[in-house]
Amino acid sequence: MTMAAIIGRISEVLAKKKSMLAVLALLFAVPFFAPSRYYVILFAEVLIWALLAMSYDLALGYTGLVSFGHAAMFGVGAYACAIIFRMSFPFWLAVLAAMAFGALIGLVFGVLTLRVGGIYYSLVTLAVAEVIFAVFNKWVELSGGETGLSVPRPSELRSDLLVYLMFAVAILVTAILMVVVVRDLIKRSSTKIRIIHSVLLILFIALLIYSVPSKLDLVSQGSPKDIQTMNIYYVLALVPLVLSYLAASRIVNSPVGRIFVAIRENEERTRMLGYSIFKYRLISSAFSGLFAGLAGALYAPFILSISPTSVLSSSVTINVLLYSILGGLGTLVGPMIGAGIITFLANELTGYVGEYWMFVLGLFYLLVIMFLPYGIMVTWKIKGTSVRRTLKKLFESIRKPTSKEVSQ
Amino acid sequence: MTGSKKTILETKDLTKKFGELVVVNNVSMGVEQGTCMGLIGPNGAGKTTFFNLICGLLKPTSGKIFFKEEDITKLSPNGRARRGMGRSFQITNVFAHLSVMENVRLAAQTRGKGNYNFFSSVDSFRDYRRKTLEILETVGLKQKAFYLADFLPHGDQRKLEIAIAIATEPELLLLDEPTAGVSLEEVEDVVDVIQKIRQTHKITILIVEHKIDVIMDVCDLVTVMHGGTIIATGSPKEITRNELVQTVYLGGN
Repeated sequence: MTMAAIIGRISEVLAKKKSMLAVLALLFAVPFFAPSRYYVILFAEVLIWALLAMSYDLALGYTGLVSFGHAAMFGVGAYACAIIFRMSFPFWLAVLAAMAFGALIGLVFGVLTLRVGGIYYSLVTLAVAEVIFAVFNKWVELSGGETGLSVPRPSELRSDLLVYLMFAVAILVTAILMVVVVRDLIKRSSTKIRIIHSVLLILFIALLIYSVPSKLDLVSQGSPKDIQTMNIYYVLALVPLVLSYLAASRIVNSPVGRIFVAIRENEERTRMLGYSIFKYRLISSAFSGLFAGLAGALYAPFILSISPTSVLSSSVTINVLLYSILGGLGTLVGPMIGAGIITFLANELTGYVGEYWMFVLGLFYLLVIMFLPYGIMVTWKIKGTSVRRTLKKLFESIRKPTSKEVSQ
Repeated sequence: MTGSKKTILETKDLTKKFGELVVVNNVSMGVEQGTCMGLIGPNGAGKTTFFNLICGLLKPTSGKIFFKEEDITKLSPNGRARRGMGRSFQITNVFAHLSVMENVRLAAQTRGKGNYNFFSSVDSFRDYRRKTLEILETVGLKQKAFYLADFLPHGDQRKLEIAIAIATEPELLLLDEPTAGVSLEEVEDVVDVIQKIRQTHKITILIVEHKIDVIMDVCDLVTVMHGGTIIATGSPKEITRNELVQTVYLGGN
């Protein structure tokens, strides 16, 4: 295969993933666009919750395991990372260990499915999570008890090189997107959607060119290390999220992933086909734990101090459940969007409605459940084409009178 | 050459009690390889219970079940399916929210290599797709491959049920009332499908049926159950002439 052929093949594949590329380019550029440090931190937090929500979706959305103990996987991951990192092992090793511990808790949850099903499984997982919470709360030597554990920020993050690297990736992804869109424009210049794409792209590049130099100046002039660290921390959360998403979408599309869905849809039938329900639930739960552990590992150095209440309490599980329901189960992307919307709202609402923010958020949940009972992404999957059709009709109806006038 | 034929399925003194109620009472029978055996009996004869004992959904109170000369009495339903037993359900039991294609593909996948592959896309397993389309062709559902199973008319769902069962490549196919709840016109369709499968796949079939004419058309051998025991076994013609059978079953109609 010649070089040109390889490039042609790659651009063909990428052409099918335009929206994903666009989202990726946007995500990588956030630290450069963000009006203040506050938003970079907020976005980084969104990414971590998004990863956790995605891990929950593997078990709940795909395999139909309604676990109320997801916080255990997340919290144990966070503690594993913190404890191992504090023993001055390298950060990446701590992250790997956290993933392993998360998967281990996942396996334990998976074993529970052998004995109990349905609502009883939910309750037993809740109980296991509470037991783990109590252990960490009381075992002060291990976890620091109620006061928690402070986590140092990985020193690997304090390098200028990473900022430049991140900038390079943002530019690279944008460039690829641009090439793909231009290629499309040349091929099918009539399509309206492509024009919207390219206009957005140009705006995006303009913004990038406008905002980047100032940020890079900060780096070269030895700016406050904190800003850098937060920017890098954002990328440190983004890269694992993107990789995890790619891995998870491979899993759900693989033969094993299809069996997960089969189990969710009809357990008895799946068993009669010859599949061992138990083994596949175990696999699903372990993967869920693996990604949840990773989310925990990223969260620990991010908030600098973890306590059982912040990473192991059932409120973490409830939040993740809300993200998933709001975003749409069984879509991977949905729960991530849900995490983004809720984390953002929870932080921003206080600015507008003060202490009533929880009330407004509750109202928002109610409206979503009433009008989008399957969540955003699932509703989009069901209604997306008809919405697009309606929009098209709307455009045509705006245009039609003029054409009639012309004919008259 | 009946002597050289192997018995693929055998039950020995199989008994199932629900509390005091004896539903299956000391049933010993065998199914020979390559035959199509029909199991009939009036309502409450214990046919479906017997069926569930064979495929493992119920555990017998006493007695043994042998499949290919192996004692499978204690084996799980999925273990039995792996050894080559496929079944359809009396009440349609398909993946309602998945496409017809995916329903059959999931079954075809059981015999493939990728059951623990979590990294390659299912689309890269061409065998599954080819086999699925073949089977859908056989049962006449190829045009509806991308319908959701839920949206199929009842007769087609019965065919899908059979398609799923044969996609697991069973050596013994257990059909539980394949024409249950199907309209008269569609019954013929379903019977045609079963006949076709007998020709193309050359597998052993054990079929429980309520409609006598279906059994008479398809089966080589008929066993009659009544009150949990077997009261007669023979060719369809012999069974229709059997007086005992006429009194308990045919006479009852």
